Amino acid sequence: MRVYLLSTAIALAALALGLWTTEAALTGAAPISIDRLGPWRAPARGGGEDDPYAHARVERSGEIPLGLGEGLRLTAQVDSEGRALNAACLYRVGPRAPLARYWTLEAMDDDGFPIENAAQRYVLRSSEILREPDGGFWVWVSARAHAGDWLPIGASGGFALTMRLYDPALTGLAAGADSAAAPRIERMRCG
Amino acid sequence: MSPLPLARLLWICALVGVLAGLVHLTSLLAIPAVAQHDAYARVQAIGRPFATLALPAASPISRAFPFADPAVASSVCLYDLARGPVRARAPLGRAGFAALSFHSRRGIVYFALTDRAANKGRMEALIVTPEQLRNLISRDDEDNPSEDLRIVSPTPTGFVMARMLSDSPDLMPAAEAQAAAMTCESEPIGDAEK
Repeated sequence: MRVYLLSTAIALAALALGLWTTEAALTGAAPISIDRLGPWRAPARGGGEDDPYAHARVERSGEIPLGLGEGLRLTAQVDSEGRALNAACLYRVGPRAPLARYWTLEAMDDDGFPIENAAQRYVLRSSEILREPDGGFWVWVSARAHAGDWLPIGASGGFALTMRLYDPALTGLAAGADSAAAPRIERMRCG
Repeated sequence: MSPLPLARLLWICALVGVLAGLVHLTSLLAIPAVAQHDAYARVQAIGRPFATLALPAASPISRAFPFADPAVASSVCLYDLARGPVRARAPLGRAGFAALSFHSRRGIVYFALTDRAANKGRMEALIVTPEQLRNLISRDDEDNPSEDLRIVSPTPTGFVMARMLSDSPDLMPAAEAQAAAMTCESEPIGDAEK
């Protein structure tokens, strides 16, 4: 009797642990085959024909990924100090972006879609933002309208920031990419 | 129940670990086979082979493909190499950045080219199977080499995606028109001869 109980317990524990590690690896809770650049992560690389993690992640999300050499998608769910992004706060993103022909910055929901807002502004392009004399920029992220380049988010709920680099100078983050080149996400105030 | 001896407890933990590892690998490798909503399946659900389908711009309402860029106009074209190589073409227009990416049946990008690789004002590539590539090479004329960019598809079916970045919101319609002008056409090898 005791042997049966023990075997069942072992099987259940192994099943739970195995499935949990798969889930964690694919959702990013366990950063397997995910590159980091400051608060940014580069998940779901296309071109990972031989990487089962990248493969499973792309298959599961239904994303049509960017190809290597085409572009790179960076996503941040935390600010530069590691705190989860909060819709009640005002953030500024900048002042530099990794070298690329173009970049776009988007606020998206947990499922990877743009966030509804009255201004119907879902994305900012590197070609349409204001620049300081030294080429730096600041994008303001908040639910309430803000002067300058404002990227609206919903008044409540979680969100993530996505920066896409088109024709990036860096094709692999692992190759010594400088995290100072990634934009900082600074929390200015909350409430 | 009497308490388990330490050695036995360690043995049990090791067993759980090994079994969990097996479950992890099995479930990971099974996902591509059981995923019902991978990119290819989603494209197949709305498109027909060799017909260019403009995808709606990403917005809170059109929720077909996650993680798509609202600043980018895109279109897809499903291909099938059964009848011969497939030629994909897209024009260059006012988009600040344009790219073609090639996706296998399994949803993985196996090749991408940008407008930097454009020739004569357009991006163009010939998608082939390994066998078709051998066939084409055997027919190549050494004095008059083919200018085709030949790329080998890892699966006999797949899709091509065009991405056209709009420089500003008012240029989005122009980018959409440019994305819709992408084509992918079957080109049986006999016909390709000059």
